[in-house]
Amino acid sequence: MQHTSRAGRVLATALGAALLAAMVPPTFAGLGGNASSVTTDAVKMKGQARSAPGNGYTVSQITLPSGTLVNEYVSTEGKVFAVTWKGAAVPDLSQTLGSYFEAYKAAASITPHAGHHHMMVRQTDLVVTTGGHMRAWHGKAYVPSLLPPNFSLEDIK
Amino acid sequence: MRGPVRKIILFALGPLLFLAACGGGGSDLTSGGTGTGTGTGSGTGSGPGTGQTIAVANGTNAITMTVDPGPSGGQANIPYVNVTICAPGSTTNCQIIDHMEVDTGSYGVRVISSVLNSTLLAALTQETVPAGNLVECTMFADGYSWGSMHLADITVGTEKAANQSIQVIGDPNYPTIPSACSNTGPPEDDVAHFGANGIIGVGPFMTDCGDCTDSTESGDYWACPSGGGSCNPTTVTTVAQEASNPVAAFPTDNTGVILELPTVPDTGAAVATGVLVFGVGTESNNGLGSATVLTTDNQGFINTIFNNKTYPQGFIDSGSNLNFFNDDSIAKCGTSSVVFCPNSELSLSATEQGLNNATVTVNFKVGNAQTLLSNHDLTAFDNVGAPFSATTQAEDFDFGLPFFYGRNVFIVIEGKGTSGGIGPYFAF
Repeated sequence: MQHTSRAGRVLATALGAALLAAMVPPTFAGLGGNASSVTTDAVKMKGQARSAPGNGYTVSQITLPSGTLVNEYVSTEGKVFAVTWKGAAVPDLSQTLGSYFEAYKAAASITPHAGHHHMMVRQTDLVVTTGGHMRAWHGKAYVPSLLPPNFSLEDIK
Repeated sequence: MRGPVRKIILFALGPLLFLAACGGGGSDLTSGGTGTGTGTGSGTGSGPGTGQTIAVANGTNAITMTVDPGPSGGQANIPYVNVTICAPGSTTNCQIIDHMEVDTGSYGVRVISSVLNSTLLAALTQETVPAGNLVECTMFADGYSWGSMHLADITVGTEKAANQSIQVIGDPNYPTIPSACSNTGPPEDDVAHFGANGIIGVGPFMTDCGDCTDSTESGDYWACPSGGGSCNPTTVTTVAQEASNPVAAFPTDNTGVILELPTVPDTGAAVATGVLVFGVGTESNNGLGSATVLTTDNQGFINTIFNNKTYPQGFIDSGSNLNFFNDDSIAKCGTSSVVFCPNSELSLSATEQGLNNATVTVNFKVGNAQTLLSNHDLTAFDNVGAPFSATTQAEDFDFGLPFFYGRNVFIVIEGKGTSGGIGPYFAF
């Protein structure tokens, strides 16, 4: 229903040259990024990452120093197609949402809203839902066009 | 359309949202006196109209609470009260701040800086830590609020919390926002974006962080130079420097709060006027009565059992302006599919279960949220809901403000002893 332009991109810049050197164009971190951006995200957010295989995708879980958990869903094609987070602290969404962060911010800030415990952004190429209450926030985001074939949205935990 | 859902589904109509609704007309509800619910709640559990008695707003431990369009217009299902803020120790350098949002899902008093007059703001003592002045990045689900921490005396009715650490959101003395804060979402640092002149967080816990005396990892607190310049993560020197539930600091009536909002018609109301009561079991007007105590876990959650599924992250939250839950069988509106809009109003039922295993059946209604919220003259709705997450499963079940109409909801603070036991708990 909304058509907010994607206004910006966040480059993954922190990793050493070894990882980035072979990548042209540069990789984008987080949602929509390449599989290697999971490592980037873990490094940039100072988290510990571990991976578990799913059916046609891999879930990398990053535990941040704050205790917040970030899950990144990576397709066999090597794209991060969904992310979730949960914890007392909201993670760095410029990293987690990657190139979609600016679009999320723009959509989420258009109207004033005193209900601060939920947000939903639903666009053709981006769905973000957040919720919770203070000290217990969570969110999930995905890119519909990047979902693997036959992927069930219910598998985004 | 205005308010919560407008943010969600009608971005294109942003300018409309700034139009103030015609508060006061139409189905304005007031409850200045003692009243008894007149509805005909069905079922065996707690439902609106099952004999609610709303306390008199006596101006001491019970104050008027109003659901209206808010200070910048366009809000729905947000309860507001007046809060008096004074310079520490002063009875003259004070200001009554209207439209302070009552939020049972957060902790502490926060005021938008532009609302405060300069004389008062100058007299609110800046909190400091060894590395600089104390500033907070308050994270919400829909954005962040950046602002400095100051000492102030907080008074509501005749209840006074002296020397409280409050946040001055959008304080122009601290224009340099760390990226770790601004990267958590869009800013909500002015009245228009915040939807209130401030917020009074009166949930079931004491502080907004908890362990910020020991760790900087949450990203809540920062040490900054005044006038701009880079800030660094900091611990707080004492827990009291954190934004804290002001009710717990009252000399009396400090066990918790009761939100008492009247029933509203299923078609919505222009305004709903109820009462915010301080203390639980401390005065003649705040006893638990027959309310069932549901103790929460250490994050404020209880179980909600709905459609034969148990949601371990159930909660009751005046800062959520719709009921947010999952039910794939209910129609959702429009292409965005973000609010429930059944063809005819549904009557549903859920069971709330505390950690103490006590249960209460909650009957609630789901109307067509898109139609209801599109009426610009109305702000109070007891039957608007949205799928928590339109297409994915979630463990949350959030009874927002629609839940509060027609029943008195008790929120007891952690560690506070009452006749119903020790908080944290909800009761209704």
